[in-house]
This record gives sequence, structure tokens and C-alpha cells, in this order.
Amino acid sequence: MGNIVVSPHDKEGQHHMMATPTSNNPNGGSAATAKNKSEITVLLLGAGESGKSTLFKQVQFFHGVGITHDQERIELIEIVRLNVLENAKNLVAATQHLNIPIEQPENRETAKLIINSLNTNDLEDPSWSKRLYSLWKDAGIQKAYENREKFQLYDSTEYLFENLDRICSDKYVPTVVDVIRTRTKTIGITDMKFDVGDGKQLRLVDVGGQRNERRKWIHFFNTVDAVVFLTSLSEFDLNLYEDNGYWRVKESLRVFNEVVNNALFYKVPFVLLFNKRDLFEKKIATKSFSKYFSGFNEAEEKNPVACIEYMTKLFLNEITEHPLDTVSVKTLSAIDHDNSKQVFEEVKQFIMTQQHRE
Amino acid sequence: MVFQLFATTADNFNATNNQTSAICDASFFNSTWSREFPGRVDYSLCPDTWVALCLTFLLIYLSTIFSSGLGVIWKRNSGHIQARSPIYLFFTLFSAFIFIFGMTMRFIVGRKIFPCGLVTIFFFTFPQAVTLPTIFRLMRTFLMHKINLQKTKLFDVDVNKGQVRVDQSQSALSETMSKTELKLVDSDISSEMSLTNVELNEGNEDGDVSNSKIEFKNLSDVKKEMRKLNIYNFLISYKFITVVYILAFVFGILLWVLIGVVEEVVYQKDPTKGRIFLLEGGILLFEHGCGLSTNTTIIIGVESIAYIILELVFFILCLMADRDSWGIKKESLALIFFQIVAAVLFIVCGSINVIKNLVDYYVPYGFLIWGYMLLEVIVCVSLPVLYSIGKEKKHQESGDTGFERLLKNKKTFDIVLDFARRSYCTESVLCWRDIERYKKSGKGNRKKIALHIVEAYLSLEAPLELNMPKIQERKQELSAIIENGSLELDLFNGIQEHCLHDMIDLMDRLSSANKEISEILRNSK
Repeated sequence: MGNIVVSPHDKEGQHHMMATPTSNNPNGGSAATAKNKSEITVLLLGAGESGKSTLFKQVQFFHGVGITHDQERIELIEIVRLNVLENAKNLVAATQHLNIPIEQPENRETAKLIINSLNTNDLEDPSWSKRLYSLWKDAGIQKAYENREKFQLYDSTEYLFENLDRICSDKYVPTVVDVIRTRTKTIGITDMKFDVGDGKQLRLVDVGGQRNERRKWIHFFNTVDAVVFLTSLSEFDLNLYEDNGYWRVKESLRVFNEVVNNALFYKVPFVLLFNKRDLFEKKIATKSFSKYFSGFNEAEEKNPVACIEYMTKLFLNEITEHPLDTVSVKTLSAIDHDNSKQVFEEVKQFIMTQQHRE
Repeated sequence: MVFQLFATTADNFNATNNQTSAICDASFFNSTWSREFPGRVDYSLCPDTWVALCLTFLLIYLSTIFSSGLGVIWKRNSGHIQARSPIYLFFTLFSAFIFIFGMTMRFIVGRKIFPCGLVTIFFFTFPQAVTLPTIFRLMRTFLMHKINLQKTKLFDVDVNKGQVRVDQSQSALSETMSKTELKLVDSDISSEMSLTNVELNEGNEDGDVSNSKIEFKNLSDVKKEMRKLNIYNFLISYKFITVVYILAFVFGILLWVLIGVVEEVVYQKDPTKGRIFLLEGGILLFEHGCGLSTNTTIIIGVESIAYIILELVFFILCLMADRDSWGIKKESLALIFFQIVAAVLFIVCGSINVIKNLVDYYVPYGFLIWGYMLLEVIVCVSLPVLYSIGKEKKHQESGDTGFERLLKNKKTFDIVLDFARRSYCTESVLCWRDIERYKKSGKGNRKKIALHIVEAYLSLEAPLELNMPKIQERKQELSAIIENGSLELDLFNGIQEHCLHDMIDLMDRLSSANKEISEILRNSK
């Protein structure tokens, strides 16, 4: 399941051009080819919800393309609101499963509307800001939220509920942060090109992370100059979206193993990014980390550095083929603009130096 | 008061029943406007003029109701029309039509020619024609509000009370619910919820949302509330309003016959005293035209009282309805205002001699009432049709069907599919299309398409496997249903929704890349 096998017959990826906006060629164009030396192709890989697209959006933003423009963000109003509704629906449904009643009668009323009839257009009405916020603050919903590892819920939930007064207004224009925080499941493969100086272009490729999506990655394996593998630090207590009995960390390790040891990547610089550091630090403050890792010293479980060190070892142990000196490990908080910018700059430098060495 | 005024004018009229009229304006007799040369007063009516306003009005009116009627049929499934109910709208069109057609024809044909009996029939059914659409509109607004309240009560989760699982009453409940337009049925809840990716780590057996247990009130309470709901549902049903419309019109006609017979009998006894109810005609007289007397107006007034009271009651009740998402309450209240204004002006004009005896022959003051009725058709039927056309341009009924519009159009579908192919994510697009085909397929093909969908998109490791949680379980569930042979058209609705949902990302990318698509999606917001 989910094995990544490179088929020798698959040449499509080599000549593949995407019709997504690039910094200098809005329609993807066909002038540049993947083999063009002035172009560096970087793949963002990782299991579902590891933050690939979030980083992708941040990179767009530093380079002043895509979501930087108001017009692009206005088109995302629907998606932000859909996120709000999905979060609310998931929470309400969770209260039923976990048998935690929503306490206030007016919030139960709101919950019913959410499940049955509410749609994104309704959220133009500011009265929904109050109603949804009151629902969010309901003791029952909060209790379900505390138990969110038991069901699938987006990381953005709290952020969106705290910003309802802006979102539920007919004048709402999503901010860059809103867009960064919004969860949209990526399907397929998408790319974007940026000028990185010296007449070079960086082509960043974002992919979907769920099991069925990973089979598509091979289309890009041949043309790659560097791989950035993301994994979420905060997933240690979560199960997979695709398969609810399956621990996310186990899946990430497996995918990492398959990618990093892939023969096509032996000579390619490889970056392992431990993402969602912010969420992770909050999470270990209240949850036991050692409960999930028998080899970890319980006394250290509130120390994020020790936990991350442990995780790093766990991942690096998977590397059997790839030369270790071309692997770099970093932590990241992709929703944080400055941190993403800094980390991405480091990643870029690392990749360029590695290329230079060749 | 008003009637007294009326009486005075009528008396004047009776007094001047001769060739040279003091009442009729001279221009009726010898100007080019007049239809008669030499003009004369017959049956207490002045000569008609050639002014063609009535014909113009009738043409405008007919084209309005015709196009609105077609619009209602065309947009019958849209939210704006559904919320008002197409049948209600047709009754509104129909009920005004009878009256306006009849009355304008009287002026077009000529008052002296147009049979007196017909005029009186139209007048006896006039109160119904004007008030019933309003009454039903107000009643429906109020009852829909009550039904929604009632349903919310039914589904109220009462934590403190002893809870009874809904299982026992479920079948009865869904039967009641299915009669109403709003979807709160249990199965709808589950299909909605199954889209929300909620799966639990614990207890996989009963963790599935489709078995979601929502708890309800005591069964006896539920039954009582269901009975109420049944009554409300009956009152807004087509059967009920159809019967009421027919009865009301039949009643008007019966009254017409009854009073006509009384009049005829009294007249036969002593023809010298003239008619009780009409100037120089008879309620049942079809040979020539006639004018109306004050007595007629009084009879119609009395007949109207019951309707006016009903209208008032529902008007007050309607004020209680709190939600007005389709603007029905707003338009009903606005029309009531115009209705009152039109009625008052009509009575006032009728009591002013200059208007009644001069202006009326050039511009009939009946326009006040016909104008109101045309306004009603425009506000209550034509505009909702336009809203739904406009809304469709902006966005289709539920949710983000801007996507669906792209997918349903062959040309844009091909653009989407081509883009998806280049982004390596054709599975959602193709699956959406195949489910669309399934929904349109005949009985014979349905199973084949259903099996294809399950095999191609819902099988692990299939080349077109969807990005979907619990895909194996879904496959098993659907395969079992298909094997059973119960191939409902909505079988794959949940899967299709999921496909649309997965396409959000794809469509966003596409609309950044393709101006035409971006334009379509923007217009559908």
C-alpha cells in the first residue's frame, strides 16, 4: 500500500508543464524545460496534513505572487468560510460521538442549523459571528475540542473561531494569515516558479499527501534537484485521515523511508523539516509524549528540544541508502511567516551549496 | 360615508336618464374621441370613447402573466420559486387574470355592448380574486414559520428529560417530514454528516456517523407535535388551497345567481320601480351592458368583509414570522400597503363626479385596481423568477455549485478535465461525471454504471482511487446495496459531494490560471 515505485515507462513527468501561475510566466508556458540548468526543481513531499501547501503558500507570499494580491484572496472567501463550517460540523458531530452534550440550548439550536442548513453564504450575516462564537465557547464543544485527537479536525479551528467577527461580514477580505491558516486538501500536483537570483529559477512542486496521492509523486521523481520532506511534530497523538486505525507517525516514517532511500534521490540534497513546532510545544505541555514512544525517557517529555531530538533520531534511523552528509534537518512553524521565510532561506542556501559542490 | 357619497352620484345618474345628459360630458357626443355619432345615453351609460388605454394595458398584462408563468415553470426548482411554491404563484396569476381580462374587455368592447351579466359575475368574484392570493401568501409565510419552529422543537435535544431514542417514531416522523419542503429528516442528517470527515479512533463499530443517534423528546410529546405539524402541512398543501379557491369562486357565483334571481323576481312584480341592484340592467341580463349602482357596490363590500378580516388576521400573524430569507414577508407587507392605497383611491375616485363621469371614459379609474393586481403579479411572481435567474447566474441553489455549473457545461468540463489531467488529479472530475451519468441512466444501465464507479474510484490501489477516508468500508457498503438491486438515484450523492469538495483546490488553481473560468466562478459567487 502506498509503495512508491518508479516506472521506467513513465516519461510524462519529464515534459510536464503545469498551468499554474509562475512569477514570470503566468500560464506555465512551455519555454523552459525541467532539464534546463538554470532551473532548480524542489519537491515538497510528506504525508497528508504535514504542511506542504502551507509552506508553498508562504513561499508564494515572500515572492509577491499569488495570495499576495487582494484579488486572489477575495476568491478564497468561500474556502475560508467553508473551513469554518467544516470545523463547526466536525465539532458538533464529535460531541455526539463522544457523548458530550452541548450545554446551552441556544447553542444546540445553532448546532442543528450547522448540521442541516447553514451554508457559506449565510456567513455574510454578522449575527453568525456571535452565534458561532457562542457555540465555540460552549463547555460541551470545548470539551470535545480538548479530545480532538479522537476525531479529524483541522489545526486552524481555534484561529478561525477567534476571528469570526471579521469572517462573518459582507465586507470580509481574507488576510494573508487567514489564507495561510486555511486548510484545503491538495489533490494532484501543482508547481510554481520563482526567480532566485543569478539568473536561476526555483521551481517548487507541491503535492497531495494522502495514500492515493502519493502514487502520483513518481511523475516528478526524474526531474528533481532537491527534496524537502515535511512531517508534522504534532501528529504524535493522531491517526490517519485515510485510515483511522493507523498512527500518523508510523505512516510518516514509512513514507520518509520510501522517499529518502529511493535510488533516484541518492545524489539529491534532502531536507527533513519537522513542521508545526508551535502546535507541538503547546501539545506536549498538556499531553504525554512518552506515552506514544516507549523508547523515550519520560522525565524529558516536557522538554521540546529533547522530544525533537528523539524524533530526529527516529527519522534518521530510517535512512539506509542516502548519504547522510546531503541530508539536513530543521524545525519549522509554517504558519509563522518570519520563521517560514528564514527556514526556507536556509533550505535554499543548503540546496544551492549542495548543487555547487557537484 | 363613502357609500352615501356613492348614493348621491347614483341618484344623480338616475335623474338624468335621458338623451341630453347633464352628467355626460359634451365631448362624448360630438368629438372625434367618441365611438358613437351621434352619441346618446343608453342604460344610464355615456357613449364610450376610442381611447385605447385598456387594450394597451391588457396586452402588457397578458404578456406579463404569460412570461411570468413560463418563468415559474422554468425555474420551478429554484429556491425563490420553491419557497413561494409554484402552485401558489399560478393561483396568483390565474385569480387576477379572470378579473382583469373581464373588466378590460368591458371597456375594449364597449360598456354598452359588454353583457351586464358578465360584468356582475366579475364583480361578485372580485373580492376573492383580489384578496385570496394575499391571504394565502400571508398564511403560508406564517405557517412555514410555525412548521420550522415545530420541527426544531421535535429535534430538540433535551438533556434533563428522560430520553427516548427516535427509532420507534422514526418512520412516522419521516413520513410527516417528507411532506414538508425543509430537509431535516434523519437520513439527511446522516448524509450531511458523513461528508464531514468525522471518524473516531474509538469504537469503530458504532463510530460511523450514519448511525448517528440524536436523542429526542418523549414519544407522546413527539406525537402531539407531529399532529400539529400535520395540520400545518395540510393547510399549506396544494389540495387545501385549490379547494378553497374553487369554493370561494363558486360561492361568489352562487351569490350572483341568488341575488340575480331575487332582483329578477322583484323587478317582474313591478317593473316601473327599476332594478334594485343595477341601474338599467339586470344581474342576469346578457343582452346589453350596464353601469353599477351603489347597491351593487354595497353587496360587493359586504361580501369582501369576510376576506378582509381573514387578510387582517393573517397579516398580524405574519408579522410574527421572524425569518424572511426569501423576502416573502417583505413583499407581502409592501403589497398590503399598495392594496389599501388602491382600494381607498378607488372608492374616493368613485365618489367624485368628474372622475366618474368624465375621466373614467378616457382613463377608467378601474386602473387603480387593475394596476394593483398587475403590481402584485410583478412583485410576487415576475420578480421572484428574475431573482432566481439572477441568483442562478450568481450561484446555484445550494453551496458552491459554481463548480457544478462548470462541470455541467461540456466546454468548461473539458477545460477542467484537461487541467486536472495536467495536475494529476482527474479522479474526482471523472468520478463526478460518472455519477452524473448514473443519475441520468435508465434502469437497464444503472447497475453497470454503479459497479463501474465502485470499481474504478472506490477500490484501494485502483488507478483512479479517490482521496477519501474509509474507502474500503464505503466500497463494501455500496457494493452490498448494488447487489441488493436497490439502485436509488441518490446512491452516490455523498461520494459526488466528496468529489466536489476535493476539487476546491483544483478549481482554485484553475481559476488562477484561466481567466475565463475565473470569470465564471466569480460571477457564480
